[in-house]
Amino acid sequence: MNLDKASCDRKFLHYYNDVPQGMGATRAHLLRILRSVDLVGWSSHEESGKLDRKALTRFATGSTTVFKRRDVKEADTSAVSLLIDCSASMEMGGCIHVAHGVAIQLARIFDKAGINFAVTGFKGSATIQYASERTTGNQYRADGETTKFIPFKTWGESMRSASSKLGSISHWAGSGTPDYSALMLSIEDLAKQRETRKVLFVLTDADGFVPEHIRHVQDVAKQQGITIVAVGIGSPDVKQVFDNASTANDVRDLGSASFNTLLKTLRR
Amino acid sequence: MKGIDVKRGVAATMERIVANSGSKFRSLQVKWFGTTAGINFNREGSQIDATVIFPALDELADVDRGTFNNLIGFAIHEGLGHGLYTNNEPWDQARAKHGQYVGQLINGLEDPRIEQRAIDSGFAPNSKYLFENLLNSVLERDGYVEPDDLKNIPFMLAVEGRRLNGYHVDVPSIIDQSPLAVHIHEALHSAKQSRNTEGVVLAAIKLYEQIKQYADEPQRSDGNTKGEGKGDPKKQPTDDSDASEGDSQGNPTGGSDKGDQDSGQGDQDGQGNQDGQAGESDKGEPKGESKGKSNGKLNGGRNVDPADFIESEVAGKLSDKKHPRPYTNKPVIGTFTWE
Repeated sequence: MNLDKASCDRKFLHYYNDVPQGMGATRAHLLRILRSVDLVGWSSHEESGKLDRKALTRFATGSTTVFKRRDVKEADTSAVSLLIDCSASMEMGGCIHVAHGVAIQLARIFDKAGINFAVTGFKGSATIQYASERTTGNQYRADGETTKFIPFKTWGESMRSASSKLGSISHWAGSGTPDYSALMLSIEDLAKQRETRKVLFVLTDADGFVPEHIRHVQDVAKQQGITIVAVGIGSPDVKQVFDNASTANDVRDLGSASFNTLLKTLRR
Repeated sequence: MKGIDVKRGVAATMERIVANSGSKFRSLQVKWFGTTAGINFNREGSQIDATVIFPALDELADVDRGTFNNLIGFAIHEGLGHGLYTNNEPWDQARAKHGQYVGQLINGLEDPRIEQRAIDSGFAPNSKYLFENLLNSVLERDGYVEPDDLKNIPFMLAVEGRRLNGYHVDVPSIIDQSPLAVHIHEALHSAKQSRNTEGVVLAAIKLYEQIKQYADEPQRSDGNTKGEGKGDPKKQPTDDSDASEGDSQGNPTGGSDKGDQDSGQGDQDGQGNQDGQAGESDKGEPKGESKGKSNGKLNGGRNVDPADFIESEVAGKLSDKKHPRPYTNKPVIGTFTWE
């Protein structure tokens, strides 16, 4: 796709600087999910280490466990994948522009918090293959999906170098919705990241999503230790198919009470 | 391990093979759908596009290590072995001219040959162990065949050819107990020395003539088709399954790529629509099938190809049939072009 870099840069800045009200709370809740600190403490009643003055009374009674040791629990690190539905249905009602703004606001939060994250769009097409049962010879049809991923920001890439690409998001809407394959492949990609905590944000209108397929996707994600958070762009349908879901008809909804309620739920 | 780990492992193996083989493969994909296993491949000049097909394994199914190893072994056998080293054209022509049994003989001779080529290539380290494991898994489950069972000579070739490759095979050799021992030895050695499928086809046709001659001798008219030495007779394939086996090299069981928009190509056998007409290859005997007395004694043998073993390994672990999920093709990555 031929893109006007200057126009995309302008669009990026427009969305980046247009911070909705209430984003402070959203940012705080998000970071509580995604970021933790190293926990440093002391374990007592050790037989070697640093002398524990509080244990001197035990020493008087013959105890040898009068030492303490430094105890460090390393912080959980997080990887976040932000997946944007760029199918044709997102062009309707300007959903893709809402998704564009939401994506950049979320990316802004992740970037400022030093979270490892990627922003990827998806669209694609359906395929059909015919095969035969070996024993009966009966023909059956198998439906497949080919996903096109658009790497707006790759893992490890800086926001600065990705800014032009991030400014192009709304230009990419079109073609089909290989939702199942896109989610499964994104789970695969996220599972490879080294961080202990993994979250997949999906921005979509959930148009044509099959609940049983999404149920399976969520089960697989859970088995892989990945949390899926769906943001329904201009559509409440997302809540019918995803366990963790909120809707956003406007970028301002990112700062809304309902979105923050969802984030609070995820902390538990 | 879970099905998702298995799929990951198989995909990684294919990627490694592509990387190690230089530019021999333009693509080597794995697809998981339906209930059958096999390969589609297409050659354009020196470039090969191959797709190994597995049944639709559920990502959350529990899979043991042995099954995982067998799936990897099958993927290498089909993707690397047949994909790089088998030429379907002479095989298909021989089968069309001489019949399904010759196709089976070719299969029995070709499988060890292409596995040896795969091992020698070095593109898939540890492949010998995996092939050996797969063979012994099949033998452990279904047993071996009787040495004088003519319809199972193809299966015997597949086992003994691999023994000649240097595999440790868990069952003793039975060739010398066969009334056709000399001819079988000759065919095995001829196939082992063949540089291509054409050589194997010639060896198979020659062996077929010798088998037919033996089977048509008057004192053989009461038949030599005893049952198998081990294994449950109920597991023996019927004529129907045997008739469909011949498609396994081009396509799982005669399925087609009709309407497969992502590959943009038809059947991979180089015969246009053979695989698209799944039922047609099963209708009666192919042209040129011998009408001699031997014909009845040669049908119904064990499936040479490990595909049906693989299918049975994962049969209870397939994804939801009520809500079949789409199979996932290799993704395409969009690129940015700035004006």
